Amino acid sequence: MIRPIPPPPLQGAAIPDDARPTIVVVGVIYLVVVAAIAVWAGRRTHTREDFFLAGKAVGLLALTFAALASTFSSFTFLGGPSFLYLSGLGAMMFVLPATLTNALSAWVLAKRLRLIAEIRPVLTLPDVMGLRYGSRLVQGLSAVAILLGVIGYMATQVAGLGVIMDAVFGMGRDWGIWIGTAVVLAYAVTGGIKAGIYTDLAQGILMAGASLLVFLFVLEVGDGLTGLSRTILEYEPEFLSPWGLYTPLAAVSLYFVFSIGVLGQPHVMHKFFMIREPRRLKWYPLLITVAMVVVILIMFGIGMAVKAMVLDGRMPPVENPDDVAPLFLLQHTPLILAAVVFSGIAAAIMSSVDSFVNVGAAAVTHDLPTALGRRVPDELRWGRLATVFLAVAAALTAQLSDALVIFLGIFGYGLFASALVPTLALGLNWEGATRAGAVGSLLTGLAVTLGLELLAYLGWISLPAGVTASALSLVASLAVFLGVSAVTRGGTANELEEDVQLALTL
Amino acid sequence: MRDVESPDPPSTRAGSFPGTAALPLVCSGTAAAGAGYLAALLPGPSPVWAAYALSFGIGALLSGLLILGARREGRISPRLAWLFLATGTWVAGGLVLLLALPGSGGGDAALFLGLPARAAFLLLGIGLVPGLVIPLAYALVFDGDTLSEDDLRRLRETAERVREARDGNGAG
Repeated sequence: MIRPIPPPPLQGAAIPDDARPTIVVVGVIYLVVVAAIAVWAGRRTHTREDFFLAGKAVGLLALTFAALASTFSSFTFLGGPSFLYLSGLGAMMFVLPATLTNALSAWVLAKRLRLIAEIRPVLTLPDVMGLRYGSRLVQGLSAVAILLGVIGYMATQVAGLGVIMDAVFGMGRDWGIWIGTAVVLAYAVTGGIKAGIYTDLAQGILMAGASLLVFLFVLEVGDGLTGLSRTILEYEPEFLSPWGLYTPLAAVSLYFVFSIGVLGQPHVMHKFFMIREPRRLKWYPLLITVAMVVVILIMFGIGMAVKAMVLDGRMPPVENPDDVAPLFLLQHTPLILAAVVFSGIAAAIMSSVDSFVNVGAAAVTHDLPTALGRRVPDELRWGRLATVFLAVAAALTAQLSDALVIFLGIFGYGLFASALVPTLALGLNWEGATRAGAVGSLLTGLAVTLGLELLAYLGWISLPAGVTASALSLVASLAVFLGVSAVTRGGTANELEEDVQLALTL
Repeated sequence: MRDVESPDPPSTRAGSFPGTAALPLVCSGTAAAGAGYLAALLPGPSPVWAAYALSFGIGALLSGLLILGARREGRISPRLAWLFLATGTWVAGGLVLLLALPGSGGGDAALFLGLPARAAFLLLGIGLVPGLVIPLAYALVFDGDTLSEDDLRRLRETAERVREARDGNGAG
């Protein structure tokens, strides 16, 4: 869900030499756990359903923490505290909608996606869209949108991974990129999404536990929330206004994009196919919401604490905002907890890369060939090869061009949101949705997102504060979807088979 | 799910307000958000009402999408529909309230649960309250209003029948 933050998120200099051994040991322990999960999952991955859908045998807890880990990535631990420190309370608009959007996605998508997976051999979201609209063009366009977004996200995440690996192990950024990528590939290729899900389970629990502990240290350091607020209000009251240092429009716009746009994030929605029994979804929204609230505490707590300590002179101003979280952790929490969080950051990035590369590999080996009327003979084997290809391409991009990484990272979220929210979230729930509406909406999302982001990147246009290409493309694609569907009602109907129709109306 | 042929789908025909409000809410929410962004794109500073329009758009889209998603065979239980309408109204109304109310005070401002009142309302009122109420409602109504054992059995039987018919046609 969270927009990727361009690297570098953490400077190696932030970790003092005497702390490094502990951090390295914890990091190595984490990598061993990941390797063990990869071996375990690899031995249980025999079919394409295992590779792309974890054999549809995932339990509620695993689904919850995998979705949590995929949703937040490293943002909550690194980018989030930095944003809050720099921008005030308005930065919470990045994560505040998450408390509501889990239930939104459960009601709008989870049940329908899982029911379709119950009755048809679907592997991907484009599969479902192809089925819903009876259109290979819709399936192909949605696969293209997903693939472009995945490439953008992955390059950014892999670049960040290089910086984190360098910071923790002191191996240099380029080596960090390749070794980090190799670790992800080790479990993404052998165990597919099954390895990713169970790595995420461990990582999600770690994220939630570490966040809670760090927040307790925040309260201790800051003399409670009241102490932090009093200090900040005395020096910089606007920091604690609802919009922080953002304009009201910019803050509300963040809420808009991150509440509605979450319905188009394929790496999270894809996981709904995987739960063992559809009725196990019952407690999913409540569990993940509670877990997310706990994880958000680390962003809120560290951002508030560092701001208050800088304002009252207990800390010098933070020169590089990306150091906000590392500085607090190293100076105000036990080293072992800081080490766990640093490992968690690397783990979070690996988890996101794994989820994205799996969705991307499915687009390459399954969706695009299906859209072209072809079938890849051994999707498991080709899925593994596509996984390697995409990860290596992302690593090369990350190594060769920072500028390209930043550009690619920017449009990923907006592309997912604008291309998939109307066709998927509305399309699976509204009888009036038409094939033409879906095609028009997908083309609009692709064109507006790529066009605006490219023009902004080249410096040819400058959008006013609060107006982003993601927001504009989301609104435009929604409007086109609704308008074209309304106009084309009465055209050739897409007759759904009885079981699919029932899955979409139950 | 009919794709296009029915000018008056069963859901809107059979339901009653606010169940029938789903699509109008989605359309008006999209229009409001679009108007807000377009106004902000015009030359000069963004008009104040742009943020209000966007707030309304958020609330309307949330309510509309929730109602659409919770419908079963074109119908939704009135208690759920009202809950979703109230949720969207609460979020939109809360944002509008925060936009309209002036900020207050410095170091001696009154705090609520350790935060200034407006910040507390944003984090707890708009963030936490609906974020707990809606997921809790999901769990509480799941068996009756979302997916029962009977629903699943019916779906599996229908899928089996469709598969047999397809296989039969293929064999024949």
